Amino acid sequence: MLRGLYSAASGMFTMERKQEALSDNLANAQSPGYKKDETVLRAFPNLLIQRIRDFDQAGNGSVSGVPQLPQSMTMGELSNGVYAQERIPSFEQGTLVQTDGTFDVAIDDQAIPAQEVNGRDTKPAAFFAVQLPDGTVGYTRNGKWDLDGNGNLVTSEGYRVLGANGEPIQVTSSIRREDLQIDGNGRLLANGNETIGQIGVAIAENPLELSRLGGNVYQAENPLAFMQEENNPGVSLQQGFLEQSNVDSAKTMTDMMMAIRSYEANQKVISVYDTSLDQLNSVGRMNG
Amino acid sequence: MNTSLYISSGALQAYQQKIDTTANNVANVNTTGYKRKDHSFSEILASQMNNHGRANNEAGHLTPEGLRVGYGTRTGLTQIDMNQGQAMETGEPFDLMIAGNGFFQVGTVNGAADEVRYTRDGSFHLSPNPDNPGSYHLAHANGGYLLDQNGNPIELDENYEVKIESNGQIQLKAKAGQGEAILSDQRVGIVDIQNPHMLRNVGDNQFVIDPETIPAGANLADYARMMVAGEAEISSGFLEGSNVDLMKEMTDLMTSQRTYQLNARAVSYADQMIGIANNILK
Repeated sequence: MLRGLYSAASGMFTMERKQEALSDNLANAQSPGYKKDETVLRAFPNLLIQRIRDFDQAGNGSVSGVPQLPQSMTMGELSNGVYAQERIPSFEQGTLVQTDGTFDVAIDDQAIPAQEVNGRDTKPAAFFAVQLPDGTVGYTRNGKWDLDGNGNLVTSEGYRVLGANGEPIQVTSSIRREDLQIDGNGRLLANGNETIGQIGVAIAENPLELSRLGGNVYQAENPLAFMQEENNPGVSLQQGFLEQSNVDSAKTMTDMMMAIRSYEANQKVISVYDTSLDQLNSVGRMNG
Repeated sequence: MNTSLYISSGALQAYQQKIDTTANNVANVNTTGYKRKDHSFSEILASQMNNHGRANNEAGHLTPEGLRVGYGTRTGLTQIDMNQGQAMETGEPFDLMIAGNGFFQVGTVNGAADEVRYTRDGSFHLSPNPDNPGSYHLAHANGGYLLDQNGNPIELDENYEVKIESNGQIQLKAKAGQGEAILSDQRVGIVDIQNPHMLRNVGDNQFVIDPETIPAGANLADYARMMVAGEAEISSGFLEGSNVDLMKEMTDLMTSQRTYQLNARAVSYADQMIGIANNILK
């Protein structure tokens, strides 16, 4: 029984998964607010292997020559290969790039202090809240917005941006687009100093608990609380800036090369097993 | 299934579209009244794979259960950048430039009879009115007539000298004798369109608002509001240049082309992986 054959096959399969995640990151190297995913590989849980058939066919009495044991005996641990356990998004701040667009808004949440969650230092992350087509709330870092035909503030995916009251933000047509201002606390100001809305900024204490929905949006199991202006933990909004994707294309390419070589190495192992099986098949062949 | 091939080839298409948009901006760097387009990417929706047979066995798992995989990127939103282009002095009396918001209204000759097009391109010239000899329209090079505040073509009599004032009013002065200058009933009609997403590009640097895009209960005037005289400032003898910034476009072109290259390499990596898998049995 050639157990390593399956371990090597699982290695190839896992490297494909990893390559997919890297390709996805690379494809989104210019999507505003995109957060890269890092693949975590894990060995399949090790199995204990035990000797069986220590008894004769009738089930009584030992096979001659085999030591007498009260129960079946453990031979050792067996590794069963590897699998892609999870993809962990990295919520590192992306670079802020000046665009001067009225509806380009970037979140800078670097100043939020890290805190301990489940015995692990975790950095909370701030998100814009958006309304998904099914009515639920999603969280995004994409600050590339515009007004749709009805005057709703929407992200470039078409999701409506929610205000701190949980309602979509609507800008009436009497307000000129270029007069709109968004201050560091997320207040939407028109005509100088008149507040017409508050952009909803939600803070995820442990952003790893969010699940990626795609379209630059994450979902939370329990709705996140909106940040209130009086207890801002260190978030500031920058109008006229866009947060770029935090993908490092040079590192992604290097990781891809690593993945492909590891894939190749696993293929070689399979080839070696194949050679062994081939030799096994030739045992006893006549006219060899 | 190895989806990295599809992820990367999909990304190539999206980056190609970005390069196309940038190239169009660069090509129109000298087009009067051209407004640049801004392309942005968006991530494709992800799907969830249940790769955990027994969740209690997943020691050290940080994210919610399951494996969420994405499928790359696509073109998200292409916005029109409505910033003012630079002013170019031409000295031609019928070259008009709007400073700030607003669009000229142009009646079409070939399109539907009542279709009004909107443009920022103010290079007009006198064109004889076929129905009324001795009078002239202000026309674009493609034949569209400049419209007044009521949506009628502007008509100028050959016996008068014409001056277009900065508030859009047309001053007429009889060529014969020393008569007083009078104001025409017509003025250059400028509409304010707050939401450029309502506009559809019909080529020739002109836009239309499709009636079907207007929500039920609203009418065209809510979206294309006629500005009162003096609200928009018109400079005669100037043209508005394109608002394309070549520096920015070239930088965009470079970064998109590099990312295109990287994704093309990712396609070749995915191909290599398939090749490796095919080589298990030689």
